[in-house]
Amino acid sequence: MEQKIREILKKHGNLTEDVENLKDDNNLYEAGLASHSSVNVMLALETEFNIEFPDEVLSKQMFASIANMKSVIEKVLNV
Amino acid sequence: MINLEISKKKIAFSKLEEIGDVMKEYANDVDQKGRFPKEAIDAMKRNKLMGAYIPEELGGLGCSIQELSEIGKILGRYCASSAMIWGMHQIQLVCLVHHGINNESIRNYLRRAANHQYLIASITSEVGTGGDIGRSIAGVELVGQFGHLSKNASVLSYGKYADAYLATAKKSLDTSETDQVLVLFESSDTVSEQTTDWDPLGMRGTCSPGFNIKATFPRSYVLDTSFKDIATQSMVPATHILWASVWYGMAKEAMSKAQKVTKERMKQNLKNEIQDNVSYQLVEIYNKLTLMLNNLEACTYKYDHLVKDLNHNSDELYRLDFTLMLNNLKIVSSELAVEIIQKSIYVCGFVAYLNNTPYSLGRSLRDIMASLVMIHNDRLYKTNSSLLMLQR
Repeated sequence: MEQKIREILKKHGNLTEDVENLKDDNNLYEAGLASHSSVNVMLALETEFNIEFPDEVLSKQMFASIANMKSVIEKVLNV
Repeated sequence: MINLEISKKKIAFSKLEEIGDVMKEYANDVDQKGRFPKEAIDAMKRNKLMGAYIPEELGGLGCSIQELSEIGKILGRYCASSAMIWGMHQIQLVCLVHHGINNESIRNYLRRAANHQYLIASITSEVGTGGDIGRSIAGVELVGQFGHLSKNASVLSYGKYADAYLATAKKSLDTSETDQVLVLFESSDTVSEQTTDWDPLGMRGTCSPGFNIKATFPRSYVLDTSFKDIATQSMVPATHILWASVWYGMAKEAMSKAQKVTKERMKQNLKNEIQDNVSYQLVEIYNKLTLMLNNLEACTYKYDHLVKDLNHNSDELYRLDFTLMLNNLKIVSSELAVEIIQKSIYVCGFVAYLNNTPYSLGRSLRDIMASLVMIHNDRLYKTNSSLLMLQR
């Protein structure tokens, strides 16, 4: 899952840093993630994992790190 | 000790989605056949929603005006006709509760209404008054302990399916057209004859043709407060607030469809490497919906507070700026709701135009057109234009 998230970030994140150099808990906003791009990341994650994020989990915090995305996706997948 | 008692109101609120599912399931059939939404209304009755505004001590849910508005906003998302029927019924309860609560026989009626989940219809329209509810041609005739009324209603929503009616009438046969009272009578004491066909553009489930009504009722079912005061203090504010709540729900549902369709489109774009995730139209829809909501909440909040003080001080309800505000709520809500639903169709495209997709909006568009003409906006524009001249 982590690898998939990284691929999506690489493709849609428009990050200023190389995704491969980021740790799971590095702040993605500091790595250049803009809100416009985070929407594309969100849409790609939904498509990739065939899920729909409920309103209550969609927050700025969710996109702040790879670890955060991972835990939210796992939560949604388990429900 | 932990209080394990959950209020009836909380239970009813928790059932709203369940009721909504029933409303949604039958909405198209109700619309196509122009029939009464029996399944939806039965679901509301099963969950005690008909007694929403009846005080708890009389067996109702004891909802506030704000809570009624919340329910209206939710129900409006599923089936406009049945949501509007619920709303119109609550308006009758608002009048009865505010102006009949000290009348022993109205109290008893409300107790029964909560217990049996009665549905009450409004007979304010009348052939020959040109849509002006502030005038009546028919008058109450009192004989001993009973009253009689014979009225030719031009529009009577869900009249055939109501358990009781609340009608405007002249206080007596020989008084002036504006000397009106509000009178309650039960369908078992009423003879009615349908006078027109019902085949409208939308809101088809409200089943609102004309009726000739002949009713007998106990003398005590004539409310003491004059209709003029009831209209100002209760009927007009409750009507504008509850109608606007239902329209808000309809508009919100349309926007939600536009959001879903746009999102799916963006996902396709991403797959096809098209970097385009901007939808200006959707933002415009959201702007309009927010305007609708803010306006509605401001009026609801204000009226909710004024109502709590109704018996001690009702002056503010008579102020011109309050009337201006309420009329404006109706004008703005109806116009914005129409625009939102239209724009949502535009955003969704063909899937909304078709009648058989999860994103269909044809019925919503037909239903919402009623908002412009049920109490015609021109009438309110005219009133507000005069009021603005009076306001400093």
